[in-house]
Amino acid sequence: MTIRIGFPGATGRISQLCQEASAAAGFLISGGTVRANSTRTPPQGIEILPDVRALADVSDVIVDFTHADTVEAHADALKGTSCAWVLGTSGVTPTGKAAIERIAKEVPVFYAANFSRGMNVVLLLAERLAQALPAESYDAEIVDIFHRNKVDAPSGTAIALGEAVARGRGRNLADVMVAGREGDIGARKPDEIGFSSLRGGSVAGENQLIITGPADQTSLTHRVSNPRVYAKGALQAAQWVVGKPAGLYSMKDMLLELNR
Amino acid sequence: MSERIGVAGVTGQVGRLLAEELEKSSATLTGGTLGRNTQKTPPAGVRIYPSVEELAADSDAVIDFTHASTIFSFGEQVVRGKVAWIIGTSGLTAAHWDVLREAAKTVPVLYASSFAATSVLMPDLVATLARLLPAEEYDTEIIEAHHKYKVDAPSGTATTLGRLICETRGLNFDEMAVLGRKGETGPRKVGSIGFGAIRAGEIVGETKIYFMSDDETIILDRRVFDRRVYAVGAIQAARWAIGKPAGLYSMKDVLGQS
Repeated sequence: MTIRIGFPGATGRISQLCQEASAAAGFLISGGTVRANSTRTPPQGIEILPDVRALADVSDVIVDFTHADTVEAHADALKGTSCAWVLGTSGVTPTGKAAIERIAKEVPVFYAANFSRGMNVVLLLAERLAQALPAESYDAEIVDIFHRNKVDAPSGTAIALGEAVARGRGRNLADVMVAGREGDIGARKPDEIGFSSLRGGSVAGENQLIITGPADQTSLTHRVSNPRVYAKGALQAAQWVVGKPAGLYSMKDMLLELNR
Repeated sequence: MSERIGVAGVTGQVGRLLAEELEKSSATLTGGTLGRNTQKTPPAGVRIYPSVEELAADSDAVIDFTHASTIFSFGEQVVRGKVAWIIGTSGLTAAHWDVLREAAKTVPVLYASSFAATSVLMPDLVATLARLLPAEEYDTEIIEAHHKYKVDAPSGTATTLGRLICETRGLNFDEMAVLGRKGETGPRKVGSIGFGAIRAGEIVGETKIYFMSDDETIILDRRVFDRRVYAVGAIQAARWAIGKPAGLYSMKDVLGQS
């Protein structure tokens, strides 16, 4: 059966990339929504519905890359429907998170901060490496490189990489994270995870984990060359999550199932 | 009782390190055989045996970092000498593996393309990458870099990992391996694995595996700074293998990862 896919915030950049790839991936686009005060022209050939509820009623899954502000409203709109929710909004607040968890009891919800398959495989391997290579003899450092317009550091993905390493070692990242070394900082502590952020040009995104032991070094690098990679991952998630029981799913869940 | 360990090719690069590390360890260095280049002077104080068979007769294990071509004659000698045979030679072909399997019917045989602990994790990481990043979307290429004295290419580590990637993807390695590109190669074949070999200076060993789609690149890179990690790992393997039943073993068995 062809999956009907809907796009809240259909004028968004990643949303449009998803729409472009939908037909080739075998989806039927059921429609989209746009913000009431949006000044952008809605995409051609996509029916614009009045709200997310109306969109959910005619869709098997909605793919949502809108904004952290909309999370609670969209969760409410899915109540009483059988529409799955693929959510890629960043900066979700604690109340937003609670709303996600509530609606995940009714419909399948797939949340990811980063939908790139490659990056998520790297996160998986980072945790395994950290587990096998103890902090006493192996130092973990993270480098991220992004375009000159990025306003925050380290990148969200670099932090996710640090969290994976910390998790592998049974630590909290907050306790071991060292970002932006400068001056007379003293010798490196064995369990710290150092972050360095480079900014320049139009680099789409590069994150690297470097683990150095007494006589060897292992590193994992992920480089994005086209943001289409996020759209492809979101569509793969949409395909995977439709038909699953209600619950909250992640890229890790999907990859572990595919890795079996 | 202290394990008696002999070193085939004790004049070789790793052979010398093995002798040094064995002297430091609680195991006993029985002696060694000369490498192919018999002009090199053996390390001081190390007893030199005329053959592997005679070395084996005095030892519980023989560690062999010599050359693939010696496998054929060593196979029979370790069986007659009844020792554990620890092999770190690269560039093994199907015929070499037959010799290893034959010897493994009588004595413990342990082969590793690398004896460093982190290297042992690599197969698991690489198989996961190969499974989750399929050949239809992700082109895989391997570059390895080694010191200028290395005589074979690509390295055993690189081809072992390439073979694993193909097997994980259900592809035939011998059909998919592109061991050196030159001239009118035509476009890249889906599922193929290209190898690049850099030989320079004193590089101990680096293996870099790329998975590249139209939109993203994933790189797994492993570097060894000091060849001593191989010697330490090989001695650990030898001590583990002594007294084990006949059979073919790997570093995974030594580290309890299998």
